[in-house]
Amino acid sequence: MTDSNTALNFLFVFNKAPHSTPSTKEGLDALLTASAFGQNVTLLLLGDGVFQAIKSQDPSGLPTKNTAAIFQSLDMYGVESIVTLDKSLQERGLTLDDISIPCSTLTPKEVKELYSTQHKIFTF
Amino acid sequence: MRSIEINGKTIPLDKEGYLELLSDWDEEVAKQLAANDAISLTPAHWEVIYLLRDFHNEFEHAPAMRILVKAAKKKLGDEKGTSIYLLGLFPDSPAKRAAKIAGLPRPTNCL
Amino acid sequence: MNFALHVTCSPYSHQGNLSALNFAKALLKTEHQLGRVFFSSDGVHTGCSLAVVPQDEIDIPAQWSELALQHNVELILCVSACLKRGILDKDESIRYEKNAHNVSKPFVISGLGQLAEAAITSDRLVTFGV
Repeated sequence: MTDSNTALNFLFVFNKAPHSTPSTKEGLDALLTASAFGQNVTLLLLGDGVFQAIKSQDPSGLPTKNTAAIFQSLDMYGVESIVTLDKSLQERGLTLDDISIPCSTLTPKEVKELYSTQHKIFTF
Repeated sequence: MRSIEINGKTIPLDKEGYLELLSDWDEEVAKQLAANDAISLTPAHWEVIYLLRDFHNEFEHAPAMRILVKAAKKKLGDEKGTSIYLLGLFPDSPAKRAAKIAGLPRPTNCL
Repeated sequence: MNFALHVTCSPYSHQGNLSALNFAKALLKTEHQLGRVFFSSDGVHTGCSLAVVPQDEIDIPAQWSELALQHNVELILCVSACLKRGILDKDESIRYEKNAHNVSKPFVISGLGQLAEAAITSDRLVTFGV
């Protein structure tokens, strides 16, 4: 465990659509673990990653685990910094209203700045 | 195979006493699972059991201890949202033991 | 510099796994150190002792083992990823009452805490995936 003085900035980049690969659950597990280790965790939904948290998902017909539900618990784990790229939403005809968790948008320039302030970056 | 008998129905358990089929769970099953762990369920236990079931239902995973304490604090109040309180109800490893009795999946020891 | 690697793809499905191996080999030829490689998702197939590779192809899993033994690098497999994919060491095999185990030496099954710890203690974490 690390105290807040020495906590590192960990960025988790989710760039795949849900249910396309097994990485959602494993990425979330890694993110929640990093948060349990007291690190400053930020989640960036990039590209198709924005589909991870869109509202009204129901994968029960597949059937597969509803990973979108796990995102709803992020605030309980103290993960409050969730961001996406404005372009990722626009290109998919989405707006922040379609996202089921509190999330803010960044411009490409701001994403660049975000990357530059991180100690470690994980991609799932 | 290990199992418990409830009203003539055989319910299979894994080696560590978790349900093989989560759909087998009901309150009678919970009482028997608790008895296997020498726990007699009181209203205080049921609160935590349903807290866990609701958590799993809403968030699609079972919480580890730290988050269980947080969830208990939020839903059941400050007095009950402590590890000591939960340890008193479900000795040794409350998150795991209560999850077993609540009919949730066995944890993979990821942490 | 002290490096840690994170590998999320399997040896023969994606180039990333072999790239990670090549990167590790290149690192160890320099003054840099490699403390730990963490395999998650399909990456855990790297630790399977039952892979059989034609003699005229590179035996990626065997080369990981060799590299780790030679340079004292920890090879960690994510437990939850392993269980789902049938990669079990002796302990997990007994725990889940399976009739075999298939983790090669010196791979070790452990939790995601090992990834978080590697990320905290290393100077650089490099991920190889899809």
